[in-house]
Amino acid sequence: MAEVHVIGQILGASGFPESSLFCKWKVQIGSAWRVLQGDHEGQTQVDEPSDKPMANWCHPIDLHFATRGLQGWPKFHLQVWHQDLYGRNELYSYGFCHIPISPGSHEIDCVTWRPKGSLLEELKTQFIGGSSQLKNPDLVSSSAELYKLRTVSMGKIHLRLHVIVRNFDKYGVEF
Amino acid sequence: MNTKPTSFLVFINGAIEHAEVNDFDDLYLRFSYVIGKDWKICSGLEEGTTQIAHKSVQIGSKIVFNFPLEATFRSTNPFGWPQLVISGYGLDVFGNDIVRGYGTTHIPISPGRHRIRIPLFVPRSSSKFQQLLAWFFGRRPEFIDPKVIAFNAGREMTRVRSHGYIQVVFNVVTKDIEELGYRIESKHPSHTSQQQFDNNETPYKKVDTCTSDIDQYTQTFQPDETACWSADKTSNSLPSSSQASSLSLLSISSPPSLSIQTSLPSSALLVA
Repeated sequence: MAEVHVIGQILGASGFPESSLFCKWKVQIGSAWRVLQGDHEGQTQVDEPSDKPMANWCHPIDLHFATRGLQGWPKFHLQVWHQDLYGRNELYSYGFCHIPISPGSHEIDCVTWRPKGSLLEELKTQFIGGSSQLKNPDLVSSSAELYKLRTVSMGKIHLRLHVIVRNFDKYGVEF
Repeated sequence: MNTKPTSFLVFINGAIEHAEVNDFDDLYLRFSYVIGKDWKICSGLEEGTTQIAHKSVQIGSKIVFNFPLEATFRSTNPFGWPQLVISGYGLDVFGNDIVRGYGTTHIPISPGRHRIRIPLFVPRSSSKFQQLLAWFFGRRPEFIDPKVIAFNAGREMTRVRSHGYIQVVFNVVTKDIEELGYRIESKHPSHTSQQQFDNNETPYKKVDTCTSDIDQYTQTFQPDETACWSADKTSNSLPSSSQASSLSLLSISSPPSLSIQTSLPSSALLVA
């Protein structure tokens, strides 16, 4: 069985309209993959930066996978949420990011988007808060179904990941 | 007689160079390493305290430590790769010793020299009134065990404010990690498109190697090629911000246990 280690951090986010953000993350894997060690989902701290408009999460990622095939290579599903001063959480955006395939260190910017509602829903979001959410958040990485959506761009999530692979050369995979 | 090694070694040395902060003038740091259960520290200090350093009027807004770090780790499994956890303390205006910030980074995995900028963050009080009391009595919210910031669990309850950075330099060498079958570097570095760079947005982006202001961004000086991830064409793909020649590695070490005295107000999810 080939093994993949992913070690790194979800560094933070930038380019969002407000600060006081946190991120919910989850790793999606194919059927040939198994998580051996590490948490496959989590939620970062809520950061409100004092100077630059950039949330710093510094959330450690340490995952150990075993796999029988290349299909279904793990990917992150990321959701950025905003916590306002009353403590209410609202979804800001969705994003997904493949874990890089080549071993080595990678700095990744994950662009994100949010679903766009009708005019009435957008007005509600503007004045009352809250946002439209997807009924099935796994839609963010499904290529076949996204054509149904209308979305608005949001900011970027920054990750720094180091990938270590093992035993892939026994299967003839070249990195 | 050539017996196969059963464990690999990671040897690091380096320094905590300086801290860039705006809000205060003096700082001392406590650092420690958080490692997985398959890891062992063979040599070097596993935790320590730096000197109390002050800003200089002439030099500017940097608090210089130049504090040496040196350690050797032995392990059988990359899971639980060591993290450096830093907690910063200082005196407030009333003379109380208060926490100024926490930061964490993984020890870089690729051999070479790496400069890493660790953001500092400090827990926030639950409310403005709590904040005033904390400022007055000098009992700010802090983590009971700073090592908690190196872990995934329990972070969702923490609310923090980030300010300032700590610049750390690591030189990393590994031994026998390839003998055990682990590939930590790619033979074929991929080339990234550089149009996505937007230097106004984030300080995490790497810049061109020698000409950049090296205090602003992290850089590595690895002699071998570094692996970069090139953008793919799907709609939500992520352009990697790494440049072909430089790769910065940041690892944040988890701090020891975390206790937070602030409590989160109950939050309601709003769905339009």
